[in-house]
Amino acid sequence: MPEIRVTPLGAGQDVGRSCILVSIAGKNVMLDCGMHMGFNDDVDDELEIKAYYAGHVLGAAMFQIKVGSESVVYTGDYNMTPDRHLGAAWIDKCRPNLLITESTYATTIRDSKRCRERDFLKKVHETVERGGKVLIPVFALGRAQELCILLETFWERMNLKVPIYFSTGLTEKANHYYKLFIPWTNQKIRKTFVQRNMFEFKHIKAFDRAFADNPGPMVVFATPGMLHAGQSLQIFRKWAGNEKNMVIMPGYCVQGTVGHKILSGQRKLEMEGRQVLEVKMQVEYMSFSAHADAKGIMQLVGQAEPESVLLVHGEAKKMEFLKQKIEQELRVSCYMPANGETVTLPTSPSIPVGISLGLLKREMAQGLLPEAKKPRLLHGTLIMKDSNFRLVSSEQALKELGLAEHQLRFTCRVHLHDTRKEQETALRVYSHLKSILKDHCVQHLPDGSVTVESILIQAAAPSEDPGTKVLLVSWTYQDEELGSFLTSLLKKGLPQAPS
Amino acid sequence: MAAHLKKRVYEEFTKVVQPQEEIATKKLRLTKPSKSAALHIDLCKATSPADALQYLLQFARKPVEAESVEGVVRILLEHYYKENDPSVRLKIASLLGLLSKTAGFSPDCIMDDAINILQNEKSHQVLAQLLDTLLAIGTKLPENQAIQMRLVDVACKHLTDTSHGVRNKCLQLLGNLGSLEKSVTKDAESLAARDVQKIIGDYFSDQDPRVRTAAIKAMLQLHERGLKLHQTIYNQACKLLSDDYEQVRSAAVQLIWVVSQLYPESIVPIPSSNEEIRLVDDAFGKICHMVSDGSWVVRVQAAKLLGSMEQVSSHFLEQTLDKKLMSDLRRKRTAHERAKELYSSGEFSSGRKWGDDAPKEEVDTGAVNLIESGACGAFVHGLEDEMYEVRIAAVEALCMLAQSSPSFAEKCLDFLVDMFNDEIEEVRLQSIHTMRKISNNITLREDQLDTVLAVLEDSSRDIREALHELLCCTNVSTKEGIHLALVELLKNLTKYPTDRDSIWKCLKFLGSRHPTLVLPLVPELLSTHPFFDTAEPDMDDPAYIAVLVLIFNAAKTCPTMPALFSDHTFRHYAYLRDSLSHLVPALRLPGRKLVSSAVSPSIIPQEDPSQQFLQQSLERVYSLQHLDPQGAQELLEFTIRDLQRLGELQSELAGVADFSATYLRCQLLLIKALQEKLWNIAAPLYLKQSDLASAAAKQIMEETYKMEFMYSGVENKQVVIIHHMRLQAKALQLIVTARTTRGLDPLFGMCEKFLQEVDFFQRYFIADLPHLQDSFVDKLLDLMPRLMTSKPAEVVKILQTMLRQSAFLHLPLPEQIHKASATIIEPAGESDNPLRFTSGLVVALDVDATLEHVQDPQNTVKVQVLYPDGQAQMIHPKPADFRNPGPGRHRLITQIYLSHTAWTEACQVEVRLLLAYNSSARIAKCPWMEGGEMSPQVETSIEGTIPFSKPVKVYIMPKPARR
Repeated sequence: MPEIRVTPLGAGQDVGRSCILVSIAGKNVMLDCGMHMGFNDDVDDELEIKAYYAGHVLGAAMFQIKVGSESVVYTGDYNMTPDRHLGAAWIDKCRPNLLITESTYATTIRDSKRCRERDFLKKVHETVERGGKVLIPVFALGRAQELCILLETFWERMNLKVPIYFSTGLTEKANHYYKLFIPWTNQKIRKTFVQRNMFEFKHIKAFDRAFADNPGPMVVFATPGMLHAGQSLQIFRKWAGNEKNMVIMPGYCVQGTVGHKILSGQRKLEMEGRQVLEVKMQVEYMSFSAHADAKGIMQLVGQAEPESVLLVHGEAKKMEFLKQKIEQELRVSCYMPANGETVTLPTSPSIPVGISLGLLKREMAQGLLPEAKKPRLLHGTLIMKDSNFRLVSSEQALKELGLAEHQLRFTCRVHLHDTRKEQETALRVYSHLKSILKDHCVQHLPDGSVTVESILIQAAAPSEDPGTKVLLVSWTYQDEELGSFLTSLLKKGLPQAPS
Repeated sequence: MAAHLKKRVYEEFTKVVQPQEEIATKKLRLTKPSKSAALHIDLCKATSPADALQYLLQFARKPVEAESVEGVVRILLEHYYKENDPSVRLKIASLLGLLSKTAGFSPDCIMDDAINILQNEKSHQVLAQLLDTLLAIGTKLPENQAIQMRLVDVACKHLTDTSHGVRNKCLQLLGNLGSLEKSVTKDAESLAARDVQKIIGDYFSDQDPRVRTAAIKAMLQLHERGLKLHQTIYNQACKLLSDDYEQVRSAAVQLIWVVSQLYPESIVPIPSSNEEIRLVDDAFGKICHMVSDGSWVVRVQAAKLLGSMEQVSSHFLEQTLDKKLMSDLRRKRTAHERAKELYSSGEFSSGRKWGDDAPKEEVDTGAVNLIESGACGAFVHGLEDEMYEVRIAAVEALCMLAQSSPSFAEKCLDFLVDMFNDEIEEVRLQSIHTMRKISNNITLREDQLDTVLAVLEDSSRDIREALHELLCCTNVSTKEGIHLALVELLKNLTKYPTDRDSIWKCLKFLGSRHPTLVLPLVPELLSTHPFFDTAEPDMDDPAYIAVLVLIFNAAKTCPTMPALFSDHTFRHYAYLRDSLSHLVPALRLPGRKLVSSAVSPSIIPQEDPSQQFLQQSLERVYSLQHLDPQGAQELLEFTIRDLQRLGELQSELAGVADFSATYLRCQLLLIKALQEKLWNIAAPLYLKQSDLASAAAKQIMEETYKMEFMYSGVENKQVVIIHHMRLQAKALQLIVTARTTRGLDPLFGMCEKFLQEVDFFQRYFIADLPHLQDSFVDKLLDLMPRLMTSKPAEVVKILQTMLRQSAFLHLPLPEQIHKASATIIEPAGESDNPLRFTSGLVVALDVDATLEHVQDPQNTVKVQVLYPDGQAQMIHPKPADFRNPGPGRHRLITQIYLSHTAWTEACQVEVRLLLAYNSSARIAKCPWMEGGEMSPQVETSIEGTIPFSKPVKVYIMPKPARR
């Protein structure tokens, strides 16, 4: 029995770790495991890989792995709502056997992005208008670019002159790649690219440490995103004392970091060296997450139409809810294995068989109208040779195999009570059949036999009993249906002749 | 065979030659060899299929006259039978289709042949093409039932073809020609009467997606032709919504929409439950679901159609904006809900607390529906879509639905406001316009107003102006709201001073809509103090004027307000009322004597008197005959001055006043010209002294063109008068020429031409002649027979006396008349830095102008550039450069290219807008003109241009190219 086996090694009912092992049609595929630098991963001849756009971050992709007719789609992280720099994830109706999807936000339905963006812009705008400084701690990739684009376009639209900086280093490098991969970004950036590459920021400049002490309003993007170390923390310490300033945390903060502390409302922070830092600046939280929410996951499942779904990258409790929803609303079987647990899915792969055009046309011509999606009966010979299958007409099969055609004939004797001569009996049979089988070609041959299509009927007189005649009926196996019908007909006897 | 063909060719020749003998003059050009003969010869020459194809292609480029079509068709058919190459047959088949579309040719004669060759054709492509030809024939003969039946029969026969192309065409044919009524005749042979709907419906499940699409399209075609589709189709169409192919889904959405409009009230069951709902609701739910389809084409289609489903019940409609939020299975409120609560609890949005949006109550896991079967959240999805096409469609749909349902309008407000921050300008603009359209149904909350006003800082002028328009018709609920709006508008004013007019206008409406809300704000706005006199604000400050516009407009309906004004406010009122009368209404100010001047239409409180004034002044003028020339001139001059002033003061009368003034000016010029000394001398002088008279004639001509083409709303009765005035000007020109030019030869031509023009006038305005009693033309027509036979000198003499004697025609005032005007905003013409460019190359100059009351600006508005050397250049802007922000208004944003040879110094070029006109455009509407009856010598189509904007100077400097 062909099957697909899936074993999550790190991602089962867990967030933050990854790696999934998939066995499909005898091939083992390790998903989300990272590549060993310098090693060459061999890709099999029979393995097909197709990438779909996933949103999330630049270059994120979902993969379809296909062997023959069996396929698995692995989503990785994806985002079903477009944002300021990337489009939404998209998949065609590829109908895979299995869809492995992340489920970080399995129990969340998010509000529209617009409100959050508007709030964010309003807060930043108000602060700089007041003359305050805005600090936005970010990680180098993804949200940083989204927020940069957001602010850049807003500055452009509103004709603002306040400087925006982003900390040098990784962000700068990341921006460089963003500039190069314009086709992977969203509609707006792609369309305006001809006039201007949106990532060639006009208002956003590289940050220098000395700028932090400059007077007047400014906006700074600094790494890292949780304010636990580095430049963002340095700037934070400089600006925290002024209530005109503001810090906006655009993402999640781990417990214990400065970011988490200020978000939970702590106003006095103990820094190293027993220093106490009083936080007077405003602290704002804006969630800009780039994962699909429950609705998004369902939408993707609906679009791909898989046979079954497997959830990874999520907490067991939340997955449970989504699993139930998927089974209930989409009527698709759903799995959520823990790490090390193996899920086995039986598949019924279709086996391709080649058919000659001549045969296909001939058979098509027999039916009246080719009905879509309805099984049809077809006569032919299946040849299995070198692990491929062909369906050909029997004549051609014989020719190819160098075999002579054997004819298989059924013969049957039917006894009839008839005192007349053989020829007359034959004539009676002829006229009887002629009257019944109107659509078939019934012939009376000069040698006294009767043919119906290819079925031969001969009348003979057995020597022992002159009152009975024996009808010899002979037909090939192709005409089995007609032949057996004829015999049963003849066994009922002939109608009394008006003699 | 050859002999037979040859005979045919000769027949062709004779056929064409015969009519030539009968009506020799007209058909002369047909003597060249007929098309069919030439084609036949070509085709016989062709040695290979490729050759033949080339000949056919060449042939297809030239038009064929209706009378030779049949011959050509015969020749083509002849070759069709002989041809073995399918591509040539294909081309012939397509040519047959094209030819049968020729106007004036009845294709029923070739139908038999077409059907005949169809039956023997083997190639699928050719078959499809032939069916297409039959379709062309069938659509050409919509009345002939028998032919249609036959064609439908043919189509049904070929429906079982294996090629999708053929099936496609068959379905198309059925859709276009299938009989609409089920014929009652129970003839066994009338196969065509079979149920076309049923047949097409069977192909909804064809194996080829293209055929499925064609089947749905055919069904839609039937609907368009007026056949009522069966309700059973609905279920079939619903199944197609989950088709694998986007074009099928897209067409299916349309079909569902059509059925839902046909049977909105019928009841359909909900699958897997016992409930039943109205069909239109069900369809609405299904189309809503398609808004989150995988293909954006389908999404656009679905979003567009939603807008026109007004019969849907409000319950379903409101679901489209609904999206239940949750976080970790706990219910969360949307930002919109939070904003509303904050507002109603009196708090202002803090948004500072982390976890302000913390989820509240637990959600019942069983009750959450992630894939909504119905309309849930369709617009929420549509407005968040990745493609801006979908978002625009969703905004449009929202607009249409909101217009028909006030409660929905109220609900969708938050979403529309959100769209003001879209990344694509077009979407922002569209949503602002939408909001303006539904603004009658809504009142903005303060927090919403805040978001709306934030957009005022947008750097795009389009957006800002749209927003001003929106604010003009917005309802604000609180006085804080008004204050906020004023503050933001003033901010806008300081940031973008060019918005001045638009902002003033906006404040005018804002004030007159909310007098009671403005009242408590007055002391603060005017910064008056109960005890102290405050400094008098600067009267020229645009911001101060803006505040005053708001207050004065509010004061119009709020009589208690003027009591709060300080002395200088009254003075400023008087000044503004005079200088910006279109923005400041007339107020009844208690206890104050109105400042009155000699001509004081400005303080006439209502419109009626000024209308009256206009009427009276015109009346006075029309009694002109009875005055001596000197008095007449004076009266005209005064009236023209009055009218001009009136136009400036009363914007709504500006069009009429200007129009009348222009007419009077023409008359004044005419009188002046006729008063010249020149006429008193009996003999012609042949001197160049009559500059004044000829200049007057020329100017009258120009003015009449302006009157005819620069005003919108000019009716036929005015056109008559205008043309009449022009005729007089032409007469004047003629007699001036006669007086000043030696020799008779030019005079002959001019006379001839003038008489033709009189003739033309008579024919064109035959219906209006009775109104022209006693006029110039009336008298002229009386003398026409005499004039025709007279010598030029005599004609001139008659004309001269008639011009003097003829009465001044009364110009009836049109109902609605507006003068076309244009203002160039960009370039502003203030720059001292010349635009430098290398001579011989071009420099692009951005031009931004607003146009008012211009009809069809795409064709009429041109940009003219005048170089200092007198060289003028006319530029035709692209149609896409014109935008239409409101009724009667257009905006031209374009780039013009300047180039010149090198100059030694920077110099100014003039840029202005021209209104192009073409007098034949108006006359072409005249019924008698068909068939070229008019003698071609009369100059009927006069093309010209009228400058209608102030010229702007641009400083440029073409430098010599560096070597």
